[in-house]
This record gives sequence, structure tokens and C-alpha cells, in this order.
Amino acid sequence: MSGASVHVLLVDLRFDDGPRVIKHADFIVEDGEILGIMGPSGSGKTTLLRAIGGLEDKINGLCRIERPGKIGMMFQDYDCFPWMSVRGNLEFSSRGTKTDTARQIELLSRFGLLKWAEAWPWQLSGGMRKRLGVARCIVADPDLLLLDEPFGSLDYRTKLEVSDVTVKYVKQNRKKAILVSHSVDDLMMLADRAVISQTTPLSLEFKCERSESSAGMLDILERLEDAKFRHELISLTTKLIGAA
Amino acid sequence: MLSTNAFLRYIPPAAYAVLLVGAFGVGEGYKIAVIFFGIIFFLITMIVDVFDGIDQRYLDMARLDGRRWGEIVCYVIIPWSLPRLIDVGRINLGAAWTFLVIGEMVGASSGLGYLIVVSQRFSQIADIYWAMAAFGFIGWFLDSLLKYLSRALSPWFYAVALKQ
Repeated sequence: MSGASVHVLLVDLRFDDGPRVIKHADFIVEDGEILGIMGPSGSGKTTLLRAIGGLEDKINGLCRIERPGKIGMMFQDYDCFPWMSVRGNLEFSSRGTKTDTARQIELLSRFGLLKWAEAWPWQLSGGMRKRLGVARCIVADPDLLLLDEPFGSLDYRTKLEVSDVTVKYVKQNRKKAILVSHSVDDLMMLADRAVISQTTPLSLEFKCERSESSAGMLDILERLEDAKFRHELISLTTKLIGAA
Repeated sequence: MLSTNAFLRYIPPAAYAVLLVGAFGVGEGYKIAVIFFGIIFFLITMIVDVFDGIDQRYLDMARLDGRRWGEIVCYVIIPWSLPRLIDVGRINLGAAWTFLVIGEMVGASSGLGYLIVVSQRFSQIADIYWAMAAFGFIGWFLDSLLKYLSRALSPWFYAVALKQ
């Protein structure tokens, strides 16, 4: 599936006859690209990812995803099945396409988990568990990765380490990823491009603009309509640019 | 279906014990029926609650892993539910003992419930204490056994779920 960009078009999504959760989202994710989507809590970011992943059965509206290929998703705070061993998790997520033990061993070794192959996830440290989460997510070689605030609860060092393996996977294998976060920090660390959501109560519009650099991202933020959200993001981004 | 269950759950088997004697006669069948009808409606409610509470995120992960429904049941729903179902078993086992005494009030000629009923009738206080101690000991033993089983089968539950 590598070699084709993914086009996402979602219009007027709502649960059954409930209020609208997404007004309009229209963007393209190119090969080897990590697209960052940012918006305040409750703006529908997770719903957007779940709709792309086909996990929302009760949603109505136009939901068209062109050429998504195989999809892998990393959930916030959920990295693996706690009742399966480290290796068991990888086996289960291999989708039974082939019992590729060599790939599992290669992944375990690349993620520093080989010694822990037979351990339970709860015996691992937070960072190791998150690495297992990434390994589990990519073991079946997905074309599109959906990352729902995946590194929110990690310390900075672990976050760097885990985002590094994720970025490498996407770049080296020419895959695509959509990262959803309310943290400028995560977005600047991982994303090539930013899509900012501007929220009104229970509706959402995504504007898609390319940010080539941190300063470019500031430009986008300057144009946000929600004053409080704009102020918060700009002060955070300025701080980060200053620290870099 | 659940409202029917709620209706039936609130009718104590002692209220229709005579009907059960009519249906099953006096003997083992009657005792089993009293225990069965005493706990089955509670069991249904509690088991449905367990499955209702399953963490949707794990189901989503399995769906994205491309697993079929049968595999999701075997590898996700059952392991997730098992320790909680054993807990339901532990709670209802206690209730089952109560119904055993009710069951042995009619037509029984032996058993701990029978012993208690006879001892009460003839004011044999010591025997009542013995029977109570036996109930307590057997209950404690079975409860410990189920607890051990749960820890052996689902160590993750005690390491992860209870800390959250």
C-alpha cells in the first residue's frame, strides 16, 4: 500500500440522531508523513481517529477514507493486552497473516524487549510497556498509523525514545501516520505538518496548513479563532522554540 | 428480558417452596431447585453487568488487529471477564448456602441445614454452634479456593486492574 497518499474526508458526523461531533475534516496524508492534528479537549479528535479506523459503528454522515491500507492504532493509556505475555501480544497482533517469528524476534530486539519476551506487561517499566505498544502496533506492518495522544503519560526522555522509533518506522518504510494531541510538545516532536481544529460547541472544523518549521507553526496558531486556545498554544510554542 | 429477570429476582424461593415440592418432590431435586432459583436471577444480573463493563478499548485493539469475533471472545472477552466472573461466583456461593438451609427445612433427613432446623426445634444450642462453625469453615475453604484459582488464572488482574 506504500506509495499512495491517504485522503480523509469526513462531513457532518453525528452519533445516531445526536448532535454533530465533526463538521468537516478534509486532508491528505502523504507517504512517509506524520500529520499532527491538534485541538482542545472535547473537540472530536479521538472520534476523528476512531472514524478513520472504522471503530465507530453508530456514526452517521459522510466518512470517506481513500486508500487507507492496513491500519494500526495506538490508544491513549492502552498499550497492550495485560493478560498476554510480551511475545503473546505481538503474536496476537500479527493478525495471523503469517506466524513470522523472525519478525517478532527482530522487533523485540530492536525495542530492547528480547530479554523480556516471556514476561507479563505489568512487569515492565512504563517506557518498556510503551515500546511494546509501538511494537504491537507495527508488527503487522500497517500502512497507516493512528496515534491517539500516545505518549501523554510518559516522561520526556522516554517520550523522545519512543517517538524516535515511531518516526523511524514511518519514514524508513514510507508509511503514513496521523497523530492526535492537545500537546504542542508532541506535535513538534513528531509531526511534519499540523492540522489545527477550531471548535465551536460540539462541532469541529479542521483547517489544513503546512508548517515547515516551528516558526511556521506559530503563524498558523496566530490565525486561530478561539482566543483562549490560541493564547495557550502560542505561549507554549514560544516557550518550546526558546528552549530548542 | 432483564426486567423479567428483575421481577423474578425479587420473589424469594421460600415463598414458592410448596410449589417446588409439588414439582420436584421432597429430596435432592427439591434442594437443588431451591438453590438454583435462589441465585440464578442474581447470577444473570451480575454476569450481564460483568460483560457490560468490558473495556471497549481492548475490543477496539483486537478489531484493529483484524481478529474475528470468535477470536475476540476467546482471547479478549474471556480473559478480561474471568477474574470478575470468579468474584461473582464467590459472592453467590455465600447466598447459595442460605438457600441450602431453606432447602433442607422440608423433607430432608440429613445435612447441615437439617441439623440446624432440628437443633432449633429441640433447643440443642451446642449443635447449632457446631453447624454454624461447619458452615463458616466450608464457606471459608471454598472462598479461598476460588480466590486462589482467580489469582493463579489471572495474575494480571491483581497486578493491573485493582491498582487503577
